[in-house]
Amino acid sequence: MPETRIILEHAGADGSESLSFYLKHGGYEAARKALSMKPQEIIDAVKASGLRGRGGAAFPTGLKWDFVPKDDPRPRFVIANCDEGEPGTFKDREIVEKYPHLLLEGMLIAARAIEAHQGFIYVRAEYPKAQGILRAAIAEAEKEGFLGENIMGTGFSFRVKVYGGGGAYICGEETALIESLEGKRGHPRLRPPYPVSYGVYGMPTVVNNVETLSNVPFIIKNGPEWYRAMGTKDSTGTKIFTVSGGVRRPGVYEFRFGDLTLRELIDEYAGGVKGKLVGVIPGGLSTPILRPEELDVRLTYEDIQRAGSLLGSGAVIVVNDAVPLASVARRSLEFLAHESCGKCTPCREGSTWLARLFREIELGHKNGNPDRIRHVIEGMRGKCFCPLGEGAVAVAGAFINKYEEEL
Amino acid sequence: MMNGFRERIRELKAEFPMGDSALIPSIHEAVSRFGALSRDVAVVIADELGTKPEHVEAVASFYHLIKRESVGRFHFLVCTNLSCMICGAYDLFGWMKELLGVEPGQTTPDGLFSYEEAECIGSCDLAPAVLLNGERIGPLDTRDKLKNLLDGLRREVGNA
Repeated sequence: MPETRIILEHAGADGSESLSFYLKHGGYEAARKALSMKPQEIIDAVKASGLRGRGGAAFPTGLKWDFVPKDDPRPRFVIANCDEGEPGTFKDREIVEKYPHLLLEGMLIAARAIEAHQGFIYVRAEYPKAQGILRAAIAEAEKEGFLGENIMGTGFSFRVKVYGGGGAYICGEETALIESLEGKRGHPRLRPPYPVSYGVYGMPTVVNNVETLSNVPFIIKNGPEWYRAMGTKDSTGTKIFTVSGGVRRPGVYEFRFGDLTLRELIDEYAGGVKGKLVGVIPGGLSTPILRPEELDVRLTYEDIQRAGSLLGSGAVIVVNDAVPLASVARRSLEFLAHESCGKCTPCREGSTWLARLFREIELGHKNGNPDRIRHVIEGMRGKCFCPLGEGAVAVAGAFINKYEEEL
Repeated sequence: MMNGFRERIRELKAEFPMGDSALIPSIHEAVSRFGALSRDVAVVIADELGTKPEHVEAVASFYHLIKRESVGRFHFLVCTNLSCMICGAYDLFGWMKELLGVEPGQTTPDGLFSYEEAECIGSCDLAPAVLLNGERIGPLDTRDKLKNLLDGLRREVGNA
């Protein structure tokens, strides 16, 4: 099954980051169409497309937009989440560095849908190049009338600002991102209220992942039926996968959902496993590892979930025998402990204990530690403030329950 | 020097619907101008944004990549997260230490180099990878590749 490159079709071609290249390939036509539609028509189209969030949570995008209160005079905001901190993920980097106007067009359509006039792109500190490219793209778009005041002569105004993060994984969580954007430590907020009604500065705010927003122009241009025809009932459209770790050809691949299995992606596209295959983390570090015999699973949200893990951000990390599995487990929990914001005790203390216990196993002290890990997991499960801690529970549980003998 | 910086903070403040949002951009601006966020600079930022220097420092300390102490002219973030680790990041980290002769967080006596262990830098396709002053470099999977890179940087400085 060949790749289906929609978002990445032109990304990386000579000059693909420029506005002239983008216009030559039909750029901003979808936005022009959206600006002639009623906001609710745009929302309905995105709802009908079945588009779900590509950052990891897979929430239906059109529904999120529809939740923004209608008869509410407060200003609204659109935020593109380009924090991309999930280890193994580098898809948004590809989009914003090589085809930034696609994201800007998606944001403009989202802004029209929820009647926002200010947008932010929250870009992680590790991507200074992307920040520069986005700033240049925004300036170019403003100069040519695709952003700013009276866009394409329609009277609609929308400005976008790039906001550079400081290096904190938790700021990929949308409420922590908002706190950070307000100049604070990136602690997640209690929900509800959700950002759609109480977001940045307490105003209605839609936060969408970069890849999610990059799908929107295609939905508007080609229609929701066209979009729905790709993928499965619950996973529509295409997904960008980043494959890394113990493979011969690490890189970025885009497929229609369900077109291939995890094993096919690794063997036929990523060049196969280097050394001996130990397991695959299918959706970024904070998704549970799958064993070698569990890889014949179609790449859709629902199939991976049935297999006991999550599609997450589409970051496939192939674990081979280059390092001991106990080291992989320890490093995973060490990451989550390091990135725990410290706000809630179960996550702050629990993730730290999990990292320490896996460290003990790594050092060869196994006695009783798997059970201690299970004990800590039970102390955390369902008690963490945000998905980071619950991710630690799932990740630690998979290592210990699927690989207890091998650790 | 501080006058220009104050002016810049005021500009940043004006760019946002609420001035509080200018805090992290101001901190980034301070690090890029002065190399790190010192107490004196935190006092200036706090004064311009109408908050306390302790708040400025509290926010800065939450974020791993905001430098609060100065680093070498070439600063390496060496990723040791999963994909890089699987591809040999701990070897790379060891070569870094051997070839530079300083511990992570320290700067070489000539002021040129420093390095630290980092979480995922989004360069997994280049694993094992580093960010060198923000630029992705990889795969640095042999000692020679790292040595050539460091030698090249030394030459660059020598020729300048």
